[in-house]
Amino acid sequence: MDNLFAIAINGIFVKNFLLVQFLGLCSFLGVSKETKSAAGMSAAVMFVMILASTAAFLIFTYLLQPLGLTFLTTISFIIIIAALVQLVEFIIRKHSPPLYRSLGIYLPLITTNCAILGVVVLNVRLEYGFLQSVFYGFTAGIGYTMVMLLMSAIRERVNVLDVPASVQGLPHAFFITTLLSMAFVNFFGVIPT
Amino acid sequence: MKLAVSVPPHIKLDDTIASINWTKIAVLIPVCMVSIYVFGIDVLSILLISVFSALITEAAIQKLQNQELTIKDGDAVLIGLILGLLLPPTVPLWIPVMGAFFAVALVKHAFGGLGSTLFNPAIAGLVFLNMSWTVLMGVDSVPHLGQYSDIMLELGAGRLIEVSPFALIGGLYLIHKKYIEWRIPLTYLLTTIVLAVLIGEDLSYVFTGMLMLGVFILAADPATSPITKNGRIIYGIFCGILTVLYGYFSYNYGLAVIFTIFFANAVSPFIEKNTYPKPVDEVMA
Amino acid sequence: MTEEVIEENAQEDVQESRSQVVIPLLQHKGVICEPLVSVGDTVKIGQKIGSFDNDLGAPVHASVSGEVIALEERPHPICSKMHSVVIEYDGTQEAIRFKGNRSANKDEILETLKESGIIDLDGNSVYFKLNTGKIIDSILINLTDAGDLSSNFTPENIPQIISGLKILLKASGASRGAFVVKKDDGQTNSALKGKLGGEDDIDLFPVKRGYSSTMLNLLAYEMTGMRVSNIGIPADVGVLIFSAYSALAVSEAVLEGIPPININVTVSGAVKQPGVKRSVVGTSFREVIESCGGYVGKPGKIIVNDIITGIAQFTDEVPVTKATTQIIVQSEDEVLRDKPGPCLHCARCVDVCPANILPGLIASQSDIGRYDECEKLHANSCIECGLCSMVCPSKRHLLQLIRYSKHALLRSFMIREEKESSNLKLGCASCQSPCHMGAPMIFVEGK
Repeated sequence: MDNLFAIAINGIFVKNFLLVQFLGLCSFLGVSKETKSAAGMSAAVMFVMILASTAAFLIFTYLLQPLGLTFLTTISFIIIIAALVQLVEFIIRKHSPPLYRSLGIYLPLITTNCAILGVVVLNVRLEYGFLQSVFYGFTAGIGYTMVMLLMSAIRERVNVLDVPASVQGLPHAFFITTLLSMAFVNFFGVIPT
Repeated sequence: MKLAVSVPPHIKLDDTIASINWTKIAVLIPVCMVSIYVFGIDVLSILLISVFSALITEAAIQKLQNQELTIKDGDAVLIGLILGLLLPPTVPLWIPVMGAFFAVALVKHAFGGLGSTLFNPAIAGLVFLNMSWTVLMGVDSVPHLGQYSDIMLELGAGRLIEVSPFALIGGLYLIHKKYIEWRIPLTYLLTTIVLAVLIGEDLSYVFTGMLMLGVFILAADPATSPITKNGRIIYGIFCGILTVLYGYFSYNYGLAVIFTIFFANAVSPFIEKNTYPKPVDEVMA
Repeated sequence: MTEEVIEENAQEDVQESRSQVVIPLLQHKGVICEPLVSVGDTVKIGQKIGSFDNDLGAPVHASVSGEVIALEERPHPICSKMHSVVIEYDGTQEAIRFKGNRSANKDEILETLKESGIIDLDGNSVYFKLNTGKIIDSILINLTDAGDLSSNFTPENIPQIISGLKILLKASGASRGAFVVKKDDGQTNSALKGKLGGEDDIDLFPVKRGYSSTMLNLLAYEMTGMRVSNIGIPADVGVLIFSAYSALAVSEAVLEGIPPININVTVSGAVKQPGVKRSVVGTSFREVIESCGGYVGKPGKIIVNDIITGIAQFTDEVPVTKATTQIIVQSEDEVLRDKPGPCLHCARCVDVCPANILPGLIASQSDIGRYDECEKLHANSCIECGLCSMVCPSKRHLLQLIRYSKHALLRSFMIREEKESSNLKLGCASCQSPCHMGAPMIFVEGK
């Protein structure tokens, strides 16, 4: 699990954060209705994942570990992620107000997005080096983006379908996610880790 | 004199939903008969139970929702038949019932019925059964086309569909009647064979009855394949690449087709969205 | 054309049972004519009874001699009801004096065509099509429309059609002319090849599919390889396309001075003796069908012009107009009564669409009211050929849904408050003459 190619295959396909590990689903289901907001959200999440992996690794290796403060891991990681999400919020709000409006509450919710916390905690648990941590964050972001784009295309197609009234909207998205996850697990599970 | 004042066109082709589905069922009948010959008469009970469970599920759901019964258009029969053919011959008889229920009720009707299915119901049913009762769904042998006569009759088949790749030649009739378009079957088949040869796989394991079923009936299923012409070519190539990829890692080209098409169904709206054609009157400004 | 001597009109098939003719004052996509006669006047064959002094108008002429008994709204095959001149036939064949000109020059030809009011089958008058101000280098005569072909392209008419094409070449300044024929139409091909031996600037242009009169932009693209935008006309790429009927009527008008009052109509379907009947403008469909022996059983549907794009009539008392080529009668059990089902996403419509758009998807978006998506999917590029609805296995009304979305998009641009500003002047009507989409509907009166 050490070389970069294996990390990439794991991060994007075999252990995809959204569909295999089921982390970060609320933003996925909330924003995937339209391709524009899905793409914006994916960019924000990838940005935060890369920076959070970098910052978290640095803080953990050069601050927490030498000082014996590893019990502060979770809190410090959350603070790092929250700061980065605020930064992303400022940038998006200034740069593209329509995107900011369409993302709505899901942009600050990236703070509590378990996918990002999952990436940084996994980096620590798997004892990755610096390059591996950053790369793992990057590939996790790519996996997230890929699934978001697929899902947004599917949900745009759903607009013209004859969905029953009790299933329309979020329940339908859950059904789709179920089958999508079945497809992912069964197909990419064959690739040896 | 009472004249009908209705909208043009005033003449239409005779093809209906029912004619498309029943023709596909007719194309599958030869394979059913060969599998009964190879595996014995128990196969008939599996197929019949699968078809009837699908029919009863659809009828029950439509009656409960106070909708018009549409079992006559053959869609539930087709789903039940394909699901039955994908099973190994040693399954207990309640397995097709569960699979047909999942396929028709959850993957077809909960998604919206005919034309609204985003994933192929028969394949979804098989994957569900595979994940839930893995031991019962185990296959005894993997088909191997050692000699040319195996194309007609493959005795080493694991699932019911793999008994005879040749029996699905009726797929060409479907293309002739324009119920299926030629782009997906051609690109899928060519990509699989060319890639398998390039990688160095033994073609006698790659070319199975499952591949023929996938090429003609499953991948070209209307609701789950892209609508645009270029999209269909890309979809066929994509399916081919993924089939060889899965088969290379798992040496099981039968399941490769199933899982590939299941995953490709999810990617098909993305492919469709990005291959919209340019209309013929788009003038460069 | 002066009014003097009595002259016999050409022999026609639908004479005996006629008592009155109804001549609509609008028979094309343009402006309605002002009537030049009033109730009680006596008219002769060929006399001008309505005109509008404008490029968008097309004069109408009396097709029988008799007395004008009414000027009122009567059923019309395309516009449902239209102001018409009703002439009671008096039994004589009094006509005005027809004066032809065998050696007319370009301006005289254009003047004659303007006065004669010949309408091409796509709804524009021939004069309007020639008067584009664009450089034309070819003129095509479209012989792939089934109704036009069977009614007007008979062996006796071929010399007239060829001379009509030559007159059009002279009037437009184009250098080449061609007849568009379907590749597998052996009869037309051989009939033409024999007669075209000596002509060097007229040849045959074979095509694979048939082009009805709404698909002319596509035909221009096929011939020149240059795309025509959906609000453009074939003249944008230097091509003018006319039907066989236009060539015939042009030849009659210029060489013999006869205005377009003779119409050939093909009657097919559930009638006792289907065939081609020669008739005059204003004869009712009922009379034409009676001259074919009458209906077989009870008629279920009467369709004018084309079975794929034609309009179903609500009565058989509609008159034959200048743009009528075919009457199709369907019996009760041939009438389609299917219920539309859900879209199967089978892509048969996409495979058959000649304009390269996605009809099924546009129709589904139009069904839920998302006209913005329809516009993004290029709904305005639809040429309304009807082939998508013909092949749909779910029997969905694709043509109607796409048409509805096009109208909705048009309406959304039309309802607007009139505001004057520094660069916008009201009432100049300069949108009127270049507009090919229906300018009369937004023509501002009196400003």
